[in-house]
Amino acid sequence: MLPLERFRVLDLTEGGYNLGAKVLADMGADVIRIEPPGGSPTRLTPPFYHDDPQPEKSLFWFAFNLNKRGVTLNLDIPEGRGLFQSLASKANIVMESYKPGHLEAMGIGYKQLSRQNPGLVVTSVTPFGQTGRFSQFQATDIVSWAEGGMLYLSGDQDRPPVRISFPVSEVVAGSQAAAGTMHALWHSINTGEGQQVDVSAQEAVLWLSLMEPPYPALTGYSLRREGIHRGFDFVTWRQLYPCKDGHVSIYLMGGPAGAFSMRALVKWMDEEGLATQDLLEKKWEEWSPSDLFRMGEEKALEEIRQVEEVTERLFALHTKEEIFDRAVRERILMAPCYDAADLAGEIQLQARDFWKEVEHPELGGNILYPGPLVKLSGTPIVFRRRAPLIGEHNREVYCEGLGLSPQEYSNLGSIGAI
Amino acid sequence: MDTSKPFSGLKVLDFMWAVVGPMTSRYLAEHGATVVKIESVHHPDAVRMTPPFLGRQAGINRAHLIAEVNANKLALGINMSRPGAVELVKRIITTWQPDLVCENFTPRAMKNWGLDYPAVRQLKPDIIYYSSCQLGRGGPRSNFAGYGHLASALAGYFHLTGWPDRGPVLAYGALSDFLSPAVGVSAILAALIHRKFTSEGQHIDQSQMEVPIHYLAPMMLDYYVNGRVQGRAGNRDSSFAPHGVFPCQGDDRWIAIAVTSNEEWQALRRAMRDPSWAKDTRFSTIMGRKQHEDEIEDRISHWTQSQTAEDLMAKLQGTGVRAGVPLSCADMHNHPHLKERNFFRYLEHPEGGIMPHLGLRFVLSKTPGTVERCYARVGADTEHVLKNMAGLQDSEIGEMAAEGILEWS
Repeated sequence: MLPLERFRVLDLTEGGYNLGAKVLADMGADVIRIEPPGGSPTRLTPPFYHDDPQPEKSLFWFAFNLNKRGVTLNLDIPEGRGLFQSLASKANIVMESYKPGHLEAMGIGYKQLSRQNPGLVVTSVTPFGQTGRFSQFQATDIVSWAEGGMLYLSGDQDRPPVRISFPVSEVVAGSQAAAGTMHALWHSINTGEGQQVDVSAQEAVLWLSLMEPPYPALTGYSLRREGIHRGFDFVTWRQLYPCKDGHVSIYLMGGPAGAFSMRALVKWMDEEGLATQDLLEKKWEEWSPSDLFRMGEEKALEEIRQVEEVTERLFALHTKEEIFDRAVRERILMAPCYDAADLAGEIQLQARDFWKEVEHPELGGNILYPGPLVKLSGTPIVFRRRAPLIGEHNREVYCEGLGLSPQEYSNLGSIGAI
Repeated sequence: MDTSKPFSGLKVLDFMWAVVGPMTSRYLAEHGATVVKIESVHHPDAVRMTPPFLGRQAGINRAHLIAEVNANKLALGINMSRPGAVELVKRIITTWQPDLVCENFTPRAMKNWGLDYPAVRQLKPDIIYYSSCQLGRGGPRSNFAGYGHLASALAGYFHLTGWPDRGPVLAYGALSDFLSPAVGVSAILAALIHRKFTSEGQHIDQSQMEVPIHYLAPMMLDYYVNGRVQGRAGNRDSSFAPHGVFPCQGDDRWIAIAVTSNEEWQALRRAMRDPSWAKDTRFSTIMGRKQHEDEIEDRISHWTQSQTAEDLMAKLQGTGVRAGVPLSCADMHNHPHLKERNFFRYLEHPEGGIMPHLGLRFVLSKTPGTVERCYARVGADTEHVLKNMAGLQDSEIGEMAAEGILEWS
């Protein structure tokens, strides 16, 4: 039995927020993805299967709606809203990403739904949350990345701040929606009391920039983006280097967090004839960011630059795989910057049986997906079904689930409710 | 039992350190669980050495990060390398009966102490045991030790950050550390729900590389299905145009603008008071705007650079254009919207002064959670935990302190 098997979720979210209900679906919940007739706008999100931009071929849709069932439902007409109320009266959770107030205005917001189902959890995930002066503002990934503080500190100083070339913000907000829903579900199971969970994508992104907000209060200054460098106060060091066939990242600090790694790194430098006497003799235990901070700016930066220079020369001699193998074997805090092709061939993921085939009969074959989000020893996550086609489970949900007669079902179809 | 917080009565024995683990157990501590964090002066949590510090004075109790990710937790000081320490932990498990044991060391650490899942299960058969490490258990690279930026590199995030004509840059911070906790706590709660209905405990094994790959799942499918290796695109987007970050008035001030439909393009034209260049029919479709992106971006930059970022955001959002200001850390604390949502919390630090904290990751309407107790000293609550929760005598506590098993700063 899967942990959430007895719970039903109605998923009205769009875009990357779709990850939220997917987390619950993976752990066994019966998630019904509700789309407008004709299909969800998320189905227009690239990339597409064989680059064919059809609503049944969005790989973005596939990835974040795996393990869900799907129905179409028109919430713009009263019959559709009535049907939704029936579904919600038998559900444990509703997840939605409409503009704050939109569902209330249609008579199907948290307050209205909870009257017939007091234990219901309604999770609302939006760009700026349910309250506050920005709550009606719209966003996309880059706007949330900006307003969450991640954008300002990423990129080279001679160009504008730069985002990750993938819409991470909404996915991250989706993951917080899953977590918040689980908190409220636990409370509902134990007390019978449901509630609304308010998730803001801005705040979800602020939690990614967690190390940055205290700077003004604690140091009196604000941080700036530093490209390939990482900074604590004036102590900054380079974290990205080219290697023979790509790039590599390293934690280049000593102290309790890194002395073991620095010693192993210098040993490798020495094997390659690159280590200076100074590096061989340095007491890495006394080379933490705080120790360097106490040295004062000029001395600290001089010491750091010396280490970086030799590191750069070392990496130029080696490939990503050589560097990663050495990191594992000798406990050095470094790792290659992988791309999709590297990940597909990575041996640890393969050993953990990470990639899972999911059957797509309509496409005439199987597709490989990233496997379980976590490994649960007693109740392992399995992929039970590919993402739903448009309206795939209408009959199952409305007739078998809600008990509509064939006549009622066909009537709802003809008036455009489903 | 106090039912105003979801996790009242839930007991957590927390071996987690650095960022990713403690951020995960902080959820539980925010919402009523009793979370006891174990660390020692001899082997302090690495983030105790990480600036910035309270009052710019380095000190074991003064780092921002140790406070931030451990808010609301109790501090138990045990030097695990001393003889008798493991026995003490086993005794705490037997007497206090935690619901959850959690750790984020490399896989060998808990095993070496004889405190891995099979061992703890002997003491408490229905224990939920959460483990998180960089690359997960099993496999040739399982014992890889790393920090957040390394799993971010491995999971593909840096390869995707930057400009097409340059090498990768860092996405700020220890990104992967911040991506896993929401999934981790969801799994913990799923396991607790399963235990509630079946009385079965279990082990949760989380890889800090695998969760972030999941978030990029469409990119992996694109590779497997289409053979495409996605790369860096600066601030451009394959579906939308214009889509970028444009200069504003002032030093290093910017605005992010995303036009996701032709209606939004019309709205942007209205916001710009429809200059003659924007009337060009080449720009009226997404295909046309993508083809002439350089030209459009130059024009928009010319328009934005004389305006202040905040005013421009309000104007654009007011006309239906998605726009936002890349916030600096100074901006965040003065952000009117975040103030109205009471996002940042300012806690008194035990060594004097105020330590800023992030607020809650979501707002629960009936059980909102708290960020109320600043975590600072190693082992600050040792006596309380051992005496009142684990049932030890004063004399035993004194002896263990003398033997160096117990430590505080």
